[in-house]
Amino acid sequence: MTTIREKKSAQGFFLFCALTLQEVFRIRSNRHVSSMVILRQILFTGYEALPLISFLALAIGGLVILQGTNLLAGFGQGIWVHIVLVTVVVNELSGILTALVVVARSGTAISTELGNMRVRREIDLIESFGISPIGYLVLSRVIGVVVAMVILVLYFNFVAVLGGWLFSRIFNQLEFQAFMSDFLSVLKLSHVLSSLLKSISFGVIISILSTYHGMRVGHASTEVPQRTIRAVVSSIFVVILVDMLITWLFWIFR
Amino acid sequence: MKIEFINVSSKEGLRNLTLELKLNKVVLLRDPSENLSRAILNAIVGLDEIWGGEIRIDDTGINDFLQKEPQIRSFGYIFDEGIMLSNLSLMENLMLPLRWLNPFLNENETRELIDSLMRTFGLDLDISQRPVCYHAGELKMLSFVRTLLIAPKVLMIDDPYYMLNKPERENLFRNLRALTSSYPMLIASLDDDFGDGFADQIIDLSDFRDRFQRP
Repeated sequence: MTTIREKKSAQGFFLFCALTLQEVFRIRSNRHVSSMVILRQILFTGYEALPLISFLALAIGGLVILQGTNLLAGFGQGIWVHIVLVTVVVNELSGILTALVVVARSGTAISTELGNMRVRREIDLIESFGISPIGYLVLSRVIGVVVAMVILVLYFNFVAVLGGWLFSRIFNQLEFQAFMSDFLSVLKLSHVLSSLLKSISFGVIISILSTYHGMRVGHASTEVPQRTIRAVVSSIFVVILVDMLITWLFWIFR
Repeated sequence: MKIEFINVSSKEGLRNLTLELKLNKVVLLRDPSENLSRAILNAIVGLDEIWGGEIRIDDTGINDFLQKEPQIRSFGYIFDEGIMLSNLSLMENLMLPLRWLNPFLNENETRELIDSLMRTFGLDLDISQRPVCYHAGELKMLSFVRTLLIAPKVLMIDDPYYMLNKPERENLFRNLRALTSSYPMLIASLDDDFGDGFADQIIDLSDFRDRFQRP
């Protein structure tokens, strides 16, 4: 770990990623101590974020249907509002909005927690046991965030579609079966794959950047908020870049 | 156990340090600055980054030595601040190194040993609570319990009296004296209690002042 702290940003970051990847191959031997950390991370990042995600998804699904219906009905194309729902929510908004929620809740929490552990020498304690801090603290959080992220994005899509139907029901008296039949007729496997790929990628990006910045804290508590801000800013920046890249790749190979 | 530092330089500040420690009984490192003694302890348990030279344990390079068996089986390091992981309960803190060594550990069987050691160290704590519920001295005493649960080959203690009040110091001294018959110890301290009459060998590190440079 001292090596990582010493290296300059980019070099240190890639070394950190390499060490984390190396720990993936040792995960079976560490699972008796890491499994509780993974479960707690899933609980915090996934389960405890459900109310906020539910509210966001319901509102976004409804608003997309409402705006789409208003806009497309003017051209006599109201039926295509489901395409808007699939394209905007399933392809784009579910991943990005969930990622922003996870950055705001879990990214900051991870970075702060690890930074404080470094300041209080708790990471030195773990190393003195002969336990790898990367395996115990970092990889466990990466796995926890990725699993939670995939579940949250699937849940977001489900609730957003439900919100879309709810608003369609209120404003257009559309039956659930008719709504779902229209929705499923435009939903393709590539939409689901793209959403899944994005959720996994965003989970890896957020957790790796947050743990990296947390572990880079030296021995001063003043570094903790500075590193947390860097973790948030870099996570948002990279998430959006990767989102554009994945969308572009799916657009090319559509 | 014999630990040799051969011309060792490190990130934490060791500069061409050559030193031999024979840890058969109690060895006291007396360092007025306290930096060099801590750097030596950290180097032995792998918390320092060695830039040059070599550390040998029983004539084996330290890396090869620590690959033979888990580090914590050899060295039980008790930090001056007696650190506990703040996001775990006290019980989870005590169990973490044990679980690391033995995945199939029976918690109930260990509980008896924990209770007995806690009584010995004068601790009456609800170990289902988090560390934040207790004061620093109690947590430091509990860190001795955590280390003794592992039964390492050598106890390495950085500043044993740090953060303890007078009754806790007396209690700890009594216990450490009793433990000298079962454990070799490497103690870094300036307190007279651990000098003559307690330590079998005292190494005055003021002679090595030029072997440390603040990083």
